[in-house]
Amino acid sequence: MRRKRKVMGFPSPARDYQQERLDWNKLITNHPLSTFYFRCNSDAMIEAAIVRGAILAVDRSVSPRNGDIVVASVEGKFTVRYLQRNEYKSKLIAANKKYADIIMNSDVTVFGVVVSVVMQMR
Amino acid sequence: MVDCNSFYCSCERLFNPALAKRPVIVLSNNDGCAVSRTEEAVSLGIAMGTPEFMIYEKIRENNIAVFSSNYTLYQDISERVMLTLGSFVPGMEIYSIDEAFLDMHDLRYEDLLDLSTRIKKTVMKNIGIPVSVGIAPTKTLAKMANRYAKKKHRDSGIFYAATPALVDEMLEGTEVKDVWGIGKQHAAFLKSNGFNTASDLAKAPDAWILKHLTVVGHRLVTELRGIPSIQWQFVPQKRKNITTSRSFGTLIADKKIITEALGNHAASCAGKLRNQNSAAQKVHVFLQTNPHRTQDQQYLRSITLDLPVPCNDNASIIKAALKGLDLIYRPGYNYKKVGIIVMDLVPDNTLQSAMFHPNNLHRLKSLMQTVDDINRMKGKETVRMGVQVGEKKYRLRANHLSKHYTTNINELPEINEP
Repeated sequence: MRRKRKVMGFPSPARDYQQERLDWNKLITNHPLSTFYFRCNSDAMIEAAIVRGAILAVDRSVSPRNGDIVVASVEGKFTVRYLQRNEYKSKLIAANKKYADIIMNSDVTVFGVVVSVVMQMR
Repeated sequence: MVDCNSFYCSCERLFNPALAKRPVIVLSNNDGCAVSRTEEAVSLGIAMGTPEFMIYEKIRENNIAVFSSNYTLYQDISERVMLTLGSFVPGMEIYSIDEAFLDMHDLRYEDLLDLSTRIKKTVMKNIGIPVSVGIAPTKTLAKMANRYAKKKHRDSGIFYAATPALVDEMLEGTEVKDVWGIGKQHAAFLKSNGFNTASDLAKAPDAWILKHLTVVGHRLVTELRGIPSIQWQFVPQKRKNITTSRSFGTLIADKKIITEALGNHAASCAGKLRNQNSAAQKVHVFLQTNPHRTQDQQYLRSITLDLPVPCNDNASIIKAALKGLDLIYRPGYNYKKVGIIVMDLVPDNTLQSAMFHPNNLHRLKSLMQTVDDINRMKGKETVRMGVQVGEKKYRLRANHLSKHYTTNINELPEINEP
């Protein structure tokens, strides 16, 4: 059976240039299986632009490097700090002068690396 | 076989670092008895299935952390673990919330010991859950190797029964009652016939096994001898019927509250049906008092109703369930539990309207899809049927429930500093 050809308009000239729309799910973390979200109720990283109320995307699968912002458990509580590490020792440093440095020892464990910070406005 | 160590407890520890060195136990639904225990709790002598009230003293003396089971959290963590495990092998069978069989048959050129070390490390690093690994030629032996790893190789958490000698060592070190698939009765029967270890069982004559343990037992014994005989289920099988029932937190006589509870169970059942693209032809409703309260009058009734056409929408399932309840409810009893089973499931793409059935199936289907979408986005039971009122009045006891850390934006783990 012959079909009538469908009448169509002029094909979009932009079609060849189409790209996938940005997807926040992919921008926030590359590893959704190993990413956990934390609520920051701390001003320890205020100078790194992490304010109270921010949501931190924390990826466990990436290896922490010197200068990363990490979530770590210190004496049984979660904290957020810069990780400073050299050959001799590792320290957790706040971005707020109010807080003293924390020397890494067996009571301090890095939970994961902060890979994104989300602030919901309404 | 990969198995998460004290899985529920490990999930609780992940979001509560203060528990790292404390013994932890997780209680079953309704805070009944201990169903998951950390090693520390085990060595304090807390047995699996001990009711909470029997160990109050021990809990206080040893500062044991006690949790109600937080299945929402465990399910999410389980999915993360399973998907991570699946990325290491060509095929996998998820056996339970915390166990999976990984098919390594096609990996004969790989160093399996090295692979299992990587698996163990990766799950610990990426998800934060400790696992044990048992590798062997058959599923039954792998399950045993896993157990053996936990008992005899605690440091590494890995046991690879790579050679016949190692398989024999493991068989000799495992009692018959601890073999996967041997129930209590069979274990007692075998013991009375002189079978003490798995090794004794593996050497039993075929004819004797067939006679006393049937074909199923024979398959199991064949597996112990290193010959794979139990089928793999790489794709989870669709369930043939679905049950939703809960005990009430307290005993309830009021029909209105029981109706609400059943309405919620029915809606949850209908949701599970839609999830696996099935529709039910029958609805079975049951209602019971608490048989342990010997001072109470006992009542237990159930009823099965045919549905006019197979369905999986909330309205039809709830309507049938409530009709069933009307028929079996008797006033004057203290009820403990109400539940619904949907049965005789068929695929929902073959649904046909009965000639005079008033419901338009397509409209119904798109309505339920919309309801499911809204509830997924805005939270469970945002849109619900009139009969599904708040859960409060009959909710389970869950006095030590932790938060839904990974699934609810208002319950994220917190970083608190003044």
